[in-house]
Amino acid sequence: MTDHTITLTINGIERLVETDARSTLLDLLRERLQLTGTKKGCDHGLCGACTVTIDGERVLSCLTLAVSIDGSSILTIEGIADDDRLHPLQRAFLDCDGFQCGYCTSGQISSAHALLHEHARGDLSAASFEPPGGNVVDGPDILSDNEIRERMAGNICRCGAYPNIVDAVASCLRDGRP
Amino acid sequence: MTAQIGRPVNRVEGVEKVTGSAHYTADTPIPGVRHAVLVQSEVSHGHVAAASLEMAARQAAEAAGVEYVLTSLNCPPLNHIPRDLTWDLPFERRPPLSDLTVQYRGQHMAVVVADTLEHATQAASLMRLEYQSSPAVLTARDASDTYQPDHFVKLTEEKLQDRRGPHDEPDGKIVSALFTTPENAHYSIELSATIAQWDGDHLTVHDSTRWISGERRVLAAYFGIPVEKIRIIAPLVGGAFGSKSFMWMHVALCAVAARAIGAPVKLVLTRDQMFTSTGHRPPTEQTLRLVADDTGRLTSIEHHTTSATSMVAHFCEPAGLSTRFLYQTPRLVVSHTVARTHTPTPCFMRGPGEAPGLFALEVAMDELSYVIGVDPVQLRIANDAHEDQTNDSPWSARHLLDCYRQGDQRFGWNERPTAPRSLRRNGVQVGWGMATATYPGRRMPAGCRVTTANDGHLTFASATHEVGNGVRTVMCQIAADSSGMPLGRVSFASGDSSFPEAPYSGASQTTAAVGSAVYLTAQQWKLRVLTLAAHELHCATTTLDIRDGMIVGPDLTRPGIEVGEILAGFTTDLREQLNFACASTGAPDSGPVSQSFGAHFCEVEVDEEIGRATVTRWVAVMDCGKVINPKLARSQVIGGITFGLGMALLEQVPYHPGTGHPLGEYYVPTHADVPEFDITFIDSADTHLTPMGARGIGEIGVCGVPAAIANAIFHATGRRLRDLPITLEALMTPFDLEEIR
Amino acid sequence: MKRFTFQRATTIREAVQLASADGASYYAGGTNLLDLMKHGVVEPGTVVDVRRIGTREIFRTDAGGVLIGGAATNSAIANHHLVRSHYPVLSHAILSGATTQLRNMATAGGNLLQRTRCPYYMDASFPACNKRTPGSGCAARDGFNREHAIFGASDSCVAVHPSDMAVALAILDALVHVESAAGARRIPFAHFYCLPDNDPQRDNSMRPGELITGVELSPYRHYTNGWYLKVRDRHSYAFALVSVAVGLTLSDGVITSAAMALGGVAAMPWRVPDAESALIGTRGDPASLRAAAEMALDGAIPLRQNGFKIDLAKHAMLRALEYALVAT
Repeated sequence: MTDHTITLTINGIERLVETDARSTLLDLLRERLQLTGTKKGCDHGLCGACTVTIDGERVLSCLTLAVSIDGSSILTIEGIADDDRLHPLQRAFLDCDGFQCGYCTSGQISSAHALLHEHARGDLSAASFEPPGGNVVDGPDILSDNEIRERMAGNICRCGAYPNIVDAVASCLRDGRP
Repeated sequence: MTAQIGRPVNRVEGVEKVTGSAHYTADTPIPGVRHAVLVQSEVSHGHVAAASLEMAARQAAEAAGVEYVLTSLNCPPLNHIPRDLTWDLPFERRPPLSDLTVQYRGQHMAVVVADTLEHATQAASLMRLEYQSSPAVLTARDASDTYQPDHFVKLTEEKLQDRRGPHDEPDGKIVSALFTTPENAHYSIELSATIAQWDGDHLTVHDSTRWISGERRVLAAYFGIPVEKIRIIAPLVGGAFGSKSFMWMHVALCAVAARAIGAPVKLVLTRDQMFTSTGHRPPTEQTLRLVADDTGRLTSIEHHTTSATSMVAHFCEPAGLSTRFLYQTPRLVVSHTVARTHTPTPCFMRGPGEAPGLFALEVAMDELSYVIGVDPVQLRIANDAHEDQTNDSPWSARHLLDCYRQGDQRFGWNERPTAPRSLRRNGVQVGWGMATATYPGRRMPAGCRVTTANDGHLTFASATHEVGNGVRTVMCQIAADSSGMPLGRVSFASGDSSFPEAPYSGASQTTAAVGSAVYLTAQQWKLRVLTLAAHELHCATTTLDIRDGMIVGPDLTRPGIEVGEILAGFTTDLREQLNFACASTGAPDSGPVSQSFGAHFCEVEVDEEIGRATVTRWVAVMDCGKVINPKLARSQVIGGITFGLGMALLEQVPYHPGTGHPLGEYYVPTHADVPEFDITFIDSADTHLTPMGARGIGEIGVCGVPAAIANAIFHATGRRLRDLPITLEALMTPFDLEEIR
Repeated sequence: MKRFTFQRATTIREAVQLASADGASYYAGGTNLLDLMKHGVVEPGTVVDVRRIGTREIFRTDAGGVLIGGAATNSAIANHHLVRSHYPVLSHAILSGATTQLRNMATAGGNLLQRTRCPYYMDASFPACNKRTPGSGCAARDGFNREHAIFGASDSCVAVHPSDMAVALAILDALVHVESAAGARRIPFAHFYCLPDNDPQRDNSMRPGELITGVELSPYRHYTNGWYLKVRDRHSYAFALVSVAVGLTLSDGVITSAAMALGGVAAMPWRVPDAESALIGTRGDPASLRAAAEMALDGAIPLRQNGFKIDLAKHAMLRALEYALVAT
């Protein structure tokens, strides 16, 4: 039973969607809108496979009530490429072999995509405090591999593509792409 | 011609995977699909009260949106599956929902089908069942019903009870220890998903399976319908690691539900259900006894393993199998005891047997190195086996000594101070450990077909499974080289039972098995093209070849003729000859043994104050035959090592004591847990096993890893830890008020 | 999940009014509430969304402190220049918790109010959980209790509070601003959480219908040195086994004020006033630090599986103090 109608702008397209109040954004994307690029790995916030961007910030869609984001703007994995042109991150994932089974990949790329702009605006991570005595008011100019790992730690990969993912992200930071 | 084999080609399905357009089972759009949710038992042993089952089913049926509730009260009886379909696999002989008994916590009790996932989930949660509990046996130690299986699954030569040499154990330097490994979960990120759809008496099942051929046959047997009426589709699988196949009962139940309501039904397991419904690695207890002479030469090895299975299926974790042959020893005793317990059915998990067994063996070898006073690598070299002592056969190719030497050198092992607690850095202890890795080279029969498009694009296809192993890419590389066509002109399709049969994607055999079929088919395709072309071009077939998509030959008037051009000149009948299927056989029955080997070297920092082990760097050198794709191969080995790291330091399922009720969270490695990797392949072709020279790499990465870590931790701390996972409590030192630092 | 009514409030007044309905819960990030609803642990009849009632801002107060809006996200707080500059230990603590995605969703109020991660509490099929079902017993007392309390536990409950942010707020002596239909009040942080005693159902001293509108940081709790140390079973993305927040003020190398709190050891962040006093006047020499760490665990009572937490907490406290002396 759908008891709510909400407006969501998904990958730039405004849509009117009917939903059950209990429906998570994840289930709404996958089951009602057939946007199956975003994946369900645990449904309880433990794996990060369902990561999307809402109003510019990366979040877990499995713990987001769809009705609570009425009027919001959502970027899913389907919206990261520019039509046929892959985002540099996607290109880097391909070349660095940043995936194997590919199931966590949408979440990894969504997270990495957000990481790039989080860093650009000077966000910190727990790793920014190590070693003691560092400047956390300004934060790191360059993200070490440790920093990238910590910022990506919310995305589990059972296939173990981690080092290749970090390489892919690092290559995009190096190239200074936004 | 540029050879594609050996090139680090990007994954052919990569663009789909990085753009979210890759389709896994649960992504398949099926109009009118209904949603199914499982209800599982909450007791380990007993039976459900029929009245409570009936009432709960009625309650659920009355809930909003519910169309059907399937229980053992209304489930049509499924046929029993004949043994020759499933051999000694961990397959429950008792069909699901066939009676009221409960044999483990997590057993399927009902399936609720509704119009939306929310409705099905809510209705399922209403089903509070009442059970008559019986005493449950939960651990092997508590079990009285035990047995000793003869061999592992199908291959009789994989003897689980084995001995050779003198009856009595000789005197000498002895290492004797007890090792334990806990239950491990596969934890693939993709939740197992099934969509079942009937069209009259035709059944189509989309399933995240790694065994299309088997699933088709088993479902046919369950329902008593011909195999031809069943189609299995597994587009991509989001990781299996040994789980996921027809062996898991929810697949059949999904099909039953679909037939009952006359509509397609989709069932996706929850993460919790993945722990009980698609297998796991059972816990093991292993005793290892090594006896050696004063120089460290082994004179006796005994390896005794106890593991657990469910009451309704057989599985033995074959931890002692590698011990039978890995080191030269005149005396060997290996035994495996399996205890029946009221726990869910276990199954293969990456490196079944090798993962826990090499933990015990390789830690014992490390202990022996200290008893003898010899370097751990030197000890292995001194005991290197000259042939496979289990059958007195040579290996087709064995470069283990190269693995040790190269690993040693790349790691800098020669700078290792022998004594534990010798290395320290930034306030933490540092240790270096190593272990041997090994995994069999397997190859079962497989089929492949080729379809030639008018423009000369080739599509090869086989009912194998892209689970992240890179099969689709590697098959293209093999097909390109074998056919002479450029990589861009060949494709490989998998995941559909309408393709020629392939074995299960397991035992690291896909490249060898399916690769051999592809190789043969492509070779045959080239021969057919050249035979037809020779006729057109008036020269002898044997003088022609295809290179980079061009037909070349000394007797041709042009340097080369595009294959597409030649094809365009063929009649439809002739072109039809270029669409056909081939089958390749399994590995040869006799002759040398195909086995992969490797060496792991790692550094672990142990912060003894907060009990934290950090794996900082890893060197692995692998002898896995010819490496078809070094980029993908490296990724596979890194994945295996990461899997082993989890096994060593993180993974276990906590239970409420005395019950089968799991609690809390299962920790697998995150980004922040993994080391720097240095992976090397010996890359020496094993053409005994396959024409391309490849063996498998899917599992060898995990083999030996927990031992290498435990050995490094010993080197760092002086603590010899023999129980996995190694957690904080085992590493932390007491707080000393008086300590001066 | 049971059906519920979803309401979105646009003002504080509207929020508290909507929440007066029976069985109503406030909803902010949803990272805990929605999870518990999926587990069937809580079943609110009405869910009141409070993220857009004007409490998202973080700003300097007239007194020179900082007011964090109740709906400010964890990430926004941790990265805010006022927090990074003047209360870095709070930033450090927040960033040590969960993951970036979760911190982008979770709010200040929600973080404080998150429920325990005790697996018996979170699994509705365990009958014995006094926090979830008063009077039903406590399965953790004699069960799996490796992650549970060594301070402040009672016969009825041995759960710990999982928040990292709260441990830092404890040493900052924060003030929690709450509001209900009956009016607004401020709760000193030391009085915010409750020990289980005989009523483990109550995690904190808030009254029914009260909404957290803000968390106020004092200008008098700027430490010159601070650190947050978290020990968990893997290197990231896990709750604390033990954590420590340390704030020190040094003047000419002498410790003139000290605040330390332990996380992961009780149903609330555990301040250690005796150990704090023992450090005042010292120069943070090794012997003094070690003695303070030892003293901090006075009175700890282990359960069957969590005794390791006592030594772990001492080690962690010592290290946090050492790191704090370096981190200005």
